[in-house]
Amino acid sequence: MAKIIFTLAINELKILLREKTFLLLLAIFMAMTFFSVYIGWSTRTTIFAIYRESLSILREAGMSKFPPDPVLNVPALAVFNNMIVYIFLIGALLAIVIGHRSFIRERKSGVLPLIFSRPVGRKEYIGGKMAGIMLALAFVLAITFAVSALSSLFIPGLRMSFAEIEKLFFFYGVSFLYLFVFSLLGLLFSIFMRAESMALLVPIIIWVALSFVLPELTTGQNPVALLNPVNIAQSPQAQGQFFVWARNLLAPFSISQHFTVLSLHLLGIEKQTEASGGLSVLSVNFQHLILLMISIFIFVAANIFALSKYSITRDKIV
Amino acid sequence: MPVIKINGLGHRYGNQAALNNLNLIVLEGEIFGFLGHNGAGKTTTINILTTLLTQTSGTAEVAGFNTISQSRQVRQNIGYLPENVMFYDNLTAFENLAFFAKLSGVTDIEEKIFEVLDFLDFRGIENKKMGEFSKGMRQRIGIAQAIIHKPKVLFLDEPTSGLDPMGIKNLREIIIRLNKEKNMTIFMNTHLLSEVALTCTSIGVLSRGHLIYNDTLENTLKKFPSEASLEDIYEHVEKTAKKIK
Repeated sequence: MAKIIFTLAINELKILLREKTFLLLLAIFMAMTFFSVYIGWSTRTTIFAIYRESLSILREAGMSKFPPDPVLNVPALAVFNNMIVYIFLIGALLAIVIGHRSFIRERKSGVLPLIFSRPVGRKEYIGGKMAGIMLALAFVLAITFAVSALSSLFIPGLRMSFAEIEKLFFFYGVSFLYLFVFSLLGLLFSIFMRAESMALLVPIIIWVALSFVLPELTTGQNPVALLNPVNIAQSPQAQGQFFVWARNLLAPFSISQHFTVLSLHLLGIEKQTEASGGLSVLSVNFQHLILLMISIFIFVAANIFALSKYSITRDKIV
Repeated sequence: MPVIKINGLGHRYGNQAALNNLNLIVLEGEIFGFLGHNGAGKTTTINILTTLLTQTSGTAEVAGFNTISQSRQVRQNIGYLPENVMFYDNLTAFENLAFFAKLSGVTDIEEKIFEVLDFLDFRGIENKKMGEFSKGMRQRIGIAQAIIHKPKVLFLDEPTSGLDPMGIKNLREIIIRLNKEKNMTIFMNTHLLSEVALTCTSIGVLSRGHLIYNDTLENTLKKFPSEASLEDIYEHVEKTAKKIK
């Protein structure tokens, strides 16, 4: 069983790495990672330059007491805060495309009868597909982690400690879980929707609902503010009766918010004094991690069920 | 010794019956030609025998294993070439064959791939991407993937469909060689009686889900000329039925 799953997973990754759509999205994602670090660096150096200029003005004015360096109190990992937005927006779409392509490709190419005329069970097949998707996401995020870590070496004054590198690693680990949810969503709809375009459109609509509609219902934020998840987490939540009720009812389903909260704490933007390492940050926020894991289990089960009902011989993609 | 045993097999798509009480035995070492017009139920039969589809009634055994309760064992013993065989176009012929060989549990993959390519006289194409292949070339790689794990029974669904005359001739030779040199039992769907006459050892004719004729090729050729059409057989079957009545 493990051998078949491994074979399917490696094949999935191999094909994906030769697909133009995936490579294009990957290139965009890499470029955005680089720019994210650049923007972080640029913001940091601009603030520091203004601070130094202010200091010289204050010195010339004969002042003896100076305000503290504003960059000094900003956590080193805060330069990566744009990555939360990119993973939230571009990453989730890339993940949906990876999941969608994974099964639509098989349906369109007509290889399913060849695969299932071999000793391959449906659970093994879907297990192989999911393992392949996990490999693809791990590949994308490993490159992103490397680009982030290497880029940080070129930022003057930014020296990351081992604990910070560990936290950055866990941030990409949480991103992996978040993206995997959306890949599973893309995979699920590619199994049971007949029309290829609808199989892509429906997961995107669900992503919009999970990322924008649910947070709006639970926080009462301005819809424009929701484009930046960092704003949502850092703004005070609406206390109206409807919002409190909606928050209690819908918050567990708000996958994007679980990701945002975990990311903000891991990158040190949202401070938690009792948590120092990546693992301790995760343990303090374990409820968000568990809810993220539960959504993965639900989508895994839904994919297994959908494939068990899928007709190999009567499938006609439109 | 029977390799395929079909007993009272039936299948319905909603209210429409595709197969009705099909009873058939194919012996080891035979090349069985399963004839019938489009929509007669030939592909449904192959789909059930290859475990891709579950019948609504009756039982089927392939290589001594039940197609429902022992589907994994059935699949270990069969090779399958669908009517329009498709592959991963981004991968090379070698990569495609290696993938399907691994799924069948084949070891020494490289050796086995070159062995089947040599058998099919198709060396030198292994590093080409499948997207560059013609229909005839795909069909050969289709046969290669179907026989790479040395199955006992080979199922071919309209294998000559879309091939040019030379391609049909080559495929015919390959089928006969697979039967003689590799001792494979071959179950072949087709709608061309003339094709069956040159390849098969026994035939069955299916009409609207009913098996209306089943005999050895030798006996069939005594009753019909090799250029006879399916209509000739239908006519013969109807006349025989009237005589019996």
